[in-house]
Amino acid sequence: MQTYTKVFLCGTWGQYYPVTFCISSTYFRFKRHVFSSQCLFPSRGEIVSSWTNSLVVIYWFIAPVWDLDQIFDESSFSLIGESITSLIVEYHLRTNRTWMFCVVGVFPWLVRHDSLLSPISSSKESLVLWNKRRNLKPPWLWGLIWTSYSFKNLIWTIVSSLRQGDWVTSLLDNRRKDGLVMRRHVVEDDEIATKHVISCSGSVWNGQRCNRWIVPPDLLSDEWCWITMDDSQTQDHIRPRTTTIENVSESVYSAIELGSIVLLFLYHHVQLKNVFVVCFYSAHLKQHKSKLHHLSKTSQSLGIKTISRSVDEFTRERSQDLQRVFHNFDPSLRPMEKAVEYQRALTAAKLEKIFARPFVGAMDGHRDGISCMAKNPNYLKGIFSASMDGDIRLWDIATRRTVCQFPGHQGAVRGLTVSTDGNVLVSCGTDCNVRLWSVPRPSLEDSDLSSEKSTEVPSAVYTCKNALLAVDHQFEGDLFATAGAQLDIWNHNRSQPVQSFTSGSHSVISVRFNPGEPDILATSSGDNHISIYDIRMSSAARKILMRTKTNSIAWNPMEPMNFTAANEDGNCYSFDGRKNEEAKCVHKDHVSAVMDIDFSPTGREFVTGSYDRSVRIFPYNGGHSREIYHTKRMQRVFCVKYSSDATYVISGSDDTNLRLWKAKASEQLGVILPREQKKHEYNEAVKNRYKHLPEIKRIVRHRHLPKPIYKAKAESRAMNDAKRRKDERRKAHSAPGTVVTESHRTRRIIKEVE
Amino acid sequence: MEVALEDNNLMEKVLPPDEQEIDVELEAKEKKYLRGEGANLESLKDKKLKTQLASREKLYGKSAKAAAKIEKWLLPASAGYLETEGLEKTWRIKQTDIAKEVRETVRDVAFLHNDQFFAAAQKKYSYIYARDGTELHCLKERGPVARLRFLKNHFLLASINKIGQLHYQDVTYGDMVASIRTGKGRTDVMEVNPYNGVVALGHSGGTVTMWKPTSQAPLVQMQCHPGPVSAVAFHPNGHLMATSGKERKVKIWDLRKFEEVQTIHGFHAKTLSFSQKGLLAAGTGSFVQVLGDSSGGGGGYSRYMSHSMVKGYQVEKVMFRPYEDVLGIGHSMGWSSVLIPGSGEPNFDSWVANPFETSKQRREKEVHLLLDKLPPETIMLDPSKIGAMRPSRRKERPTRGEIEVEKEVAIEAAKSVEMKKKTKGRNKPSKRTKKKKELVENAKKTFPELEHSNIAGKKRRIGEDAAAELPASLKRFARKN
Repeated sequence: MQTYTKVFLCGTWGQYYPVTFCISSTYFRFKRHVFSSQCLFPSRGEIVSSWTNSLVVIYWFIAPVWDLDQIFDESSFSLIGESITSLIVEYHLRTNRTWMFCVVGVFPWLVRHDSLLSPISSSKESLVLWNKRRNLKPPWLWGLIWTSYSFKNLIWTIVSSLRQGDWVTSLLDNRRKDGLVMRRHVVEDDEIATKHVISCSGSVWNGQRCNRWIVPPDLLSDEWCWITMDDSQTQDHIRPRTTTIENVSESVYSAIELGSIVLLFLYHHVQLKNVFVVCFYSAHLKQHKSKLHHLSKTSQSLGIKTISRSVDEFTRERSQDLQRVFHNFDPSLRPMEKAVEYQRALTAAKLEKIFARPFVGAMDGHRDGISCMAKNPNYLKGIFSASMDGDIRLWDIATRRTVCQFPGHQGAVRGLTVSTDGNVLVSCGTDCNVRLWSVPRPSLEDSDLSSEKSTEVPSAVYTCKNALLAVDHQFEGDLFATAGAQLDIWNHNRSQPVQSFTSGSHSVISVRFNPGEPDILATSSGDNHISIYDIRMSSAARKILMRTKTNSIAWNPMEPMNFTAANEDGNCYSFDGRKNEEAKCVHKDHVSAVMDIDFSPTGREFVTGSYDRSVRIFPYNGGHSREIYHTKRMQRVFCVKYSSDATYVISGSDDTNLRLWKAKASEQLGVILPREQKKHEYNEAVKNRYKHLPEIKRIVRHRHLPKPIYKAKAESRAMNDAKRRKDERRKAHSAPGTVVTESHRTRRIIKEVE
Repeated sequence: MEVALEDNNLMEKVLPPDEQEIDVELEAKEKKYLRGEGANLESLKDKKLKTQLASREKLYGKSAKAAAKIEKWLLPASAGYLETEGLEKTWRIKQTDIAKEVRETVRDVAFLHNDQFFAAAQKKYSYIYARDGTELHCLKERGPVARLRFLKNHFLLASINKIGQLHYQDVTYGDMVASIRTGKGRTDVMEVNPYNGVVALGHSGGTVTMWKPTSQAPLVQMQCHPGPVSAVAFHPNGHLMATSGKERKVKIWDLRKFEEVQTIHGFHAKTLSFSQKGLLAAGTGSFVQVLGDSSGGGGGYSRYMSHSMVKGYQVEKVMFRPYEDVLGIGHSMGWSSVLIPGSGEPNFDSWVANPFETSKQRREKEVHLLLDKLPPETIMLDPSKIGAMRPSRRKERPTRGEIEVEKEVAIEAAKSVEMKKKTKGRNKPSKRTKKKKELVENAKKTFPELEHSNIAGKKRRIGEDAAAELPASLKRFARKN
């Protein structure tokens, strides 16, 4: 016993899962085990198991081979034992094949002896007996068996095909020769014959398994007979108990009727009362049809396969694992998928509405209306704001608290900008001062924990003659431009403007540098002009005269030739800077003057703040807004900013508060698990697919509007409709060509000056 | 002790005869709980021990009495029994007799959205039961139901009752969504097309009608058989329908064209069932035949396997088991299952039906099923119409060119008509030419609007030309169209 220490597998009838025995000299360990490829490739394993006072010794030889012949040769079992009841082995080769083996053996030469340790005598006796009873040669070479000196070398395997006259491989383990002796010889008629078909059940869906087998009492005799499954629960009386070989195909059928038969086996039965069956089944037999041709010809059994699933292949091994998921995209499994998808789109649209909570929080602290804001390019969480009473603050968005203050301005601060490197803050106001401040560096500690607000002193103060209305810093370089009665270009280090541009008597309202070309800037002025300057030249490069004043301009950061102007008439106009005779797009929705505009860093949308107390988000190429944000308390919005990560929108309004909004109203904030992310993406996709259907369109588009805006919209719609009708009639009743309908894109533009 | 005894005597005297009887019964039971005789106290000499034991005995007596009372009054269940009258012997009572006592007709059973609930159509009403057999609902509105089917995507329980009324009930909130009077008489042939949720009924007149809950009239009426329809089954892809009639024919229909694609002669299938892979099982008498489609298109169903039950067993119902190669057979003696290799879908989809589902997954899925529940309006013959464009109602008008071509063809045809040789006097060349001209004119007359529009076009062109010719100052007086 001490010598058999290796791991092997065996099982009983109907026990679908093999049992692993680890047998050492000291202990037996039983473990229910499903073979995984790693543990099942001992090149040569041995098993000794105790089974109802009988011993099973199995030698295991498996090679990951494709050739069935080789499998026959090498992956066969050898058994020695008293009345081995059964053995079923299943394992995966690396190629994912599933093989099932069934072994039944009654070994004569050990029957009479209590121990395995005297095989020679027993086999001698049995051989004699055998020879006495039947004057037949055994199918294997007896001589080799009983000349072996220990039972380790008595290992025998017969894997036989069904057919008489076919070959038989006998596998002999001859340790003395240090290896296997493989023998194959043609079976003669009376040597080996197929007499029984044994079926063994696989597992069925609901776990029905066959646990009992009816072995006819005459199994050990020479008659043809069947080993059948005991399914006494079902009322089936046509089970064949003893049939003749002519009925093999029919009996296969009836075996199927009995229950789930996965394996059909061959066996060999000799008079010496040793029944020794090694059977196999492969899910991939079809792939090797040619090689198996001789087998499939002999037995119909190989042409039959029913669905069988082992629980372990379809469930997780450990409770920590994720549940396994299987896909089959056959459309007949999912009837009415279009309707279901539409329903999901509808649900997604409704859920989006339910989860739309855009308002994150308000930042209060200023004592007067917010006039302007600037993003801190160095620090995502920082934002500067300035109010009408001359107060400038740096906010921490995450905690929504003031980090530091910049006192000094008398009167309203009208412009605020930060240099691209994030070190210098430039502010200007109606007190004719330009102040430069050094921006405090955010450190890990004080960004979150500073309860005390620090105050800063300006690093430089430059004075000019007129009140200043706007300031913007160049993207590369250290120039900045202020707008007032004239457009001044400043250097950080000089107290006087480097360059000045004057245009007419009206003051310049806003100025914005181009993100792509550092020397190009766009301004808007009180005489309804939008001008594009190149600061290397002395006058404006291009001018557009509009019907109404433009309050603010924003360049698209991703397409730097395009800019969008926020107009006093409540519309925004997107222009191509190179082609100004008509707007690329007119963005309509605000009902009052648009005060400020800022592009998302992605360039796909922009946010506007309006005098009508609302903030809207427009797609860069869409005529109407995607989103409107408003609260009961929010007053006229003077400035808006898109956060640098395109996730938030910050608005500053007359009610002295900064408000923080989500850029996508129903977006889930925080860390999103991949599965959540997938679900969101799926919802977005189905919604997008069915967005044109009226029900979904209505839900997705609907926004609650404050009453004043709603009324103003209705009013303006009525006016526009009336005007349009009137124009149509006028056109219809006048000579063709005399009345020209101007497109919306050019209607509000008076002229364009090169 | 003596006082107590006296008390007992008194009580006995006062007790009415019934209670005395009960007392006797209780005393008999008490014996069981006393577990034998008490200790013989008389022989004891130790007084202390004696009193101790006496009090112990008293306690035993009390508890035995209490136990006897509990046995008499409080034990909840009673034992089973067999009682016979007169000459009947208990050993004559057979299992079938017992079954008769208990039996209630169950005409049909349908699982709801998962294996936790099922509905059963019983003798008078249908009921919904939980998995363990607890009755949850009694559905009285439907009357005696003959067939029950559950529409999984819509959460509708469809039923046809004995007077031919089709009911749809929403099982999520219990509302009767629709009740339709089919007006076709009693039937117990009902099947749901899994492809679109349309319910098909087979009638005794040989028609199969298809219904949706949102209309009172059938969507389709097909005359499938000359005699009564005995079974209907749908292919899982929804394009094939199999019907069987009493005239010993099984017919396969293509539901896209509503055309018969195959007739299988020779047996009267009492029940039909399609498997997931398209095998068709038919049960006749004690014989089950499985037909396989060799052509793949539905037209070539031929014998695949067969199975005969023991003679005398009447096959009532066959049904394939999804995702398994198993065919369940319900027959007069119970049910059996046989293996039909190649009938089931080998690969399941965890999101559709998962045989290895855990209870957590099941609960999760229930929620998702409810979220994806379809309104009854989505039941229609072609479910792919949902979300698609509505076809324009306006007929396409032929273009002018097409009309001209057509006209020329018609004129040519009129010209090339061979004139019959008439009798003398009627066969004059002048008459013949006249007749031919008439024919051509008639052919032209069938295209009147073309002429008209041509003229209008000419006129307009003339007007435009005129405007062009006018001096600029007078152009505005030119007639506008």
